[in-house]
Amino acid sequence: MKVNLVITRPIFRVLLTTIITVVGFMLLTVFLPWQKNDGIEVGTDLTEYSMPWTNNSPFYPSEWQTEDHKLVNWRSVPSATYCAECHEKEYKEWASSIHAITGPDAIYEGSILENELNSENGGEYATEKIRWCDGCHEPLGILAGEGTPVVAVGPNEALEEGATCILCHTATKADPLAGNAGLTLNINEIKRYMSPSLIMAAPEQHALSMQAKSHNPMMGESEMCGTCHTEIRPTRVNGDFPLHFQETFDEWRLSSYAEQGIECQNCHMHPEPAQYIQALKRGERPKRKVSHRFVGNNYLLTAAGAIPDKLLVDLRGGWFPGRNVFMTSEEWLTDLKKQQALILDLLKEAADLKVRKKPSKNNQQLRLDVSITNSGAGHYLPTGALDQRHMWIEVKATDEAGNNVYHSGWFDQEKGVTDPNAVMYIKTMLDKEQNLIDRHILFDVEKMYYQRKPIRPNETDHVPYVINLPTDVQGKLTVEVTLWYRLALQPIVENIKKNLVPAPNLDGVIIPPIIMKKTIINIDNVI
Amino acid sequence: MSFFKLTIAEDAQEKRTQSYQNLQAILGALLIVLTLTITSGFWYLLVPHDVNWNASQSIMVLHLAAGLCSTIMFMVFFFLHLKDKKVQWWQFLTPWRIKRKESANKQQWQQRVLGAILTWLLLGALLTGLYITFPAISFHFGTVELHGYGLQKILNACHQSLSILMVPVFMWHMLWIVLKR
Repeated sequence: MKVNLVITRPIFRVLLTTIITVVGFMLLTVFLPWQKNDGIEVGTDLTEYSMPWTNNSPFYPSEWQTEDHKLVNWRSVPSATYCAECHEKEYKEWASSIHAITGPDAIYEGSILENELNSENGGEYATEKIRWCDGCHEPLGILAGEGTPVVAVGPNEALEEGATCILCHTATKADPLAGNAGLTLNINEIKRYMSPSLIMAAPEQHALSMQAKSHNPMMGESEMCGTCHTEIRPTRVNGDFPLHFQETFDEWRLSSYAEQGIECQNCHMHPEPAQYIQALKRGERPKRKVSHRFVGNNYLLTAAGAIPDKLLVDLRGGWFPGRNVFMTSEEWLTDLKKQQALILDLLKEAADLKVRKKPSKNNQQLRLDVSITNSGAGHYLPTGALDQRHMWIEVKATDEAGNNVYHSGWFDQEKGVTDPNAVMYIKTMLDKEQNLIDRHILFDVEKMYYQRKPIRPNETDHVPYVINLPTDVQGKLTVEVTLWYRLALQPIVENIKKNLVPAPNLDGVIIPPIIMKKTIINIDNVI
Repeated sequence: MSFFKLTIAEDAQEKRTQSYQNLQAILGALLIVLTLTITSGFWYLLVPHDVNWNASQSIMVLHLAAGLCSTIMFMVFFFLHLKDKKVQWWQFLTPWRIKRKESANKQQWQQRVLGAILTWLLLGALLTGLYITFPAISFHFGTVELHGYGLQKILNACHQSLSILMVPVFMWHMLWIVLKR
């Protein structure tokens, strides 16, 4: 068999074009300028950057790492509004979340300034120490090199955005037990497309750069969240030993939720977290769905309609990025209401409350067992910054005529103060002079203890009440038991008033508590 | 073996016809853009982007533009080619049923079957490419329409496999292989 090969004009054209094209591409590849890494080198590009404790990381005492150990280039780091060009749904969800305002939030801003400027232990390196807090709260600022006394970082909307898209979406490694933002980012070598339309045409490299879950399973694991939801004060900030302030990840790690593979994202990134938890309680395991609302506990900074719009915007540290481009103010405020409804539903799903009358020695004594079960949270209840976030029990007994015969756990709506004798799940913090720290001055904490320990997942806390009834009480009693949750103590507002210029008008503003659970029982056998 | 035979038509009179000249012009242009599309596509696929990402991007732009031109030109060429070869358009739907004409030899018949297969593969590669590019095109018209990432990956896998299959068929179809027994 002999093959007679004839090269016709068309074949010749194909061969010639192929050769010319390949040579052209080779030349393009060799000569077209491209900067693979646009990170900023401390010491070379940024000579005035202060690193008083270690040369290993420009971000210490936060635990951030970049794969190339360089700072992020503030000129090129993309804002959430850039992502919103295509991912509008995700952007809108995020814009209403608390992740969008971890930095500008007035409560945080006031507290951070108080720690930096007015705390006992701020001292000479107060600005550098703030990297510990800002690492999670103003991450891009720290990554770009703002946490230094002589700042050489220009303006970029992204740096003000709190926990913004590019952070989680360039994370390659997580060290949740180290906490304090223990993430490693591959952020300086993102493959930047010439145009968003090219991302759409060939998104594979984008998905790789942005750590799509299909490439990086860590995106769907609790370890990712744990890096910031673990807060440990390093000894460089104060103290002889690291002080564990928040251990939400570890609480989850040792729970049955971790054993069952129910990750943080399953609940907190579900579009309807309360519904997801209800399904878990029924023994179901619904398919994971993803929303970027990050529904948590902050019912205050999502309280559109309940707080005047201006005050809400001031407390959130301003309007959202991309206002009137991707969303109008009205749309956003409406969405905030939805966000708050999801938060309230989630909080109400977290606990179960039961009240049982116990046998008494005599009829003038009422003994109750109030039991609170952490039935819906994969971490302790409450969790987080437990010097501020707290729960307490209110027990109110009234006689047939409606007279108060017992009242524990009252809340003064005008002063924002809770009954000091209430059963309260809160961490008390003291400074070295044993003064109470109730404004989140974590730099100065020397000692801390729980008034009542938070409740572990699926565990029940039994709280005994012995009520000595007045001698004239007769007939039926109605006992109303309420489990309250409050985001923060009232004195935290002072940080805002004292440190923010201009400070929002907070006269008469009370941080409200919300009801998690309420139950009423009637008791017949009182004489 | 005649190595450089720069035309397909043997008949000098046929070469002078207007339709033949048109076909040749379209074929010439199609071959250039199609070659550009194939080369740039395989370059983007095979050469690591880390070598020069900007070059990869430029080559991708070229791939998209050439791919779009190829699709349009192929449509025109397809119908002219069928007319030229006196084949009904619907015959390409069932290449396995193409009957051998009495006057045609086995090689010509095989060439027709191969042509029909190539048409399928080319259409598949070009249309999946177009569908993959649709979000990019719609973005330029101010509308964001994303495929799910899963669908995008499936489409890409189809686009790449069809292209990989298409190249040898394309070369085989063009090479005008003559088997001498």
